[in-house]
Amino acid sequence: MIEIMINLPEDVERKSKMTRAQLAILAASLVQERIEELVKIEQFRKSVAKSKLTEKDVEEISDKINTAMWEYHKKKYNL
Amino acid sequence: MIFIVVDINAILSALISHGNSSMIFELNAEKKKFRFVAPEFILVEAGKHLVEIAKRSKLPFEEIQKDIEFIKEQIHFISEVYYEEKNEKAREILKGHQKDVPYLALALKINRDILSGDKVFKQLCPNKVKNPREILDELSK
Repeated sequence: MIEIMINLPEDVERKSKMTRAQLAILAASLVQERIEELVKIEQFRKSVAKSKLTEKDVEEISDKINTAMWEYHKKKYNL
Repeated sequence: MIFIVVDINAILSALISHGNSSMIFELNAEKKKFRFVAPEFILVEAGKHLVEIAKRSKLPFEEIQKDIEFIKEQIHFISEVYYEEKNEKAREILKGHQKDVPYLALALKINRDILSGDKVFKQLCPNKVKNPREILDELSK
């Protein structure tokens, strides 16, 4: 565990109606959550940068999915 | 948060390197400006094509699964029962381009736009369909 110090305006503490210990827990969980999000974004960015998928691939696969979806709707709702 | 319908083309295009769609999902994960909405059926159907997507992308299967999971976290999937009353109207508007009926029906039901890179879809519904460039501009504001 590391320890970090943050400064909050006094009115934030007042509005929160939380103790300093509760605010510290909240801040720690928000920082952790945000960092996990940023890591996921970075992983996605790096992964997609290596992808060899082309627009033609996407068009072909999308077409199969859309056709299957339309056939399903057509049959189910007598369109 | 702005709700917008997304089609499968825009979703899969997010797996093309350096494309507008991948930038949209990256930026939106950070800014949380849009909540994407899609017909539930594509979730099932896209799952059937995972191996093919992995193969064509030349990425390991586990990695493509994670990438799709990342995209899916930003999409709310809606059952077709919810927008069935709008199917007929969507079919009339789209005439011969019927494969996009479920997306338009959903968009009509929730009264929102559609993110799609499909040029024919855009031509048929110019005010309803936004292409990835337009959404990216919106996100970059």
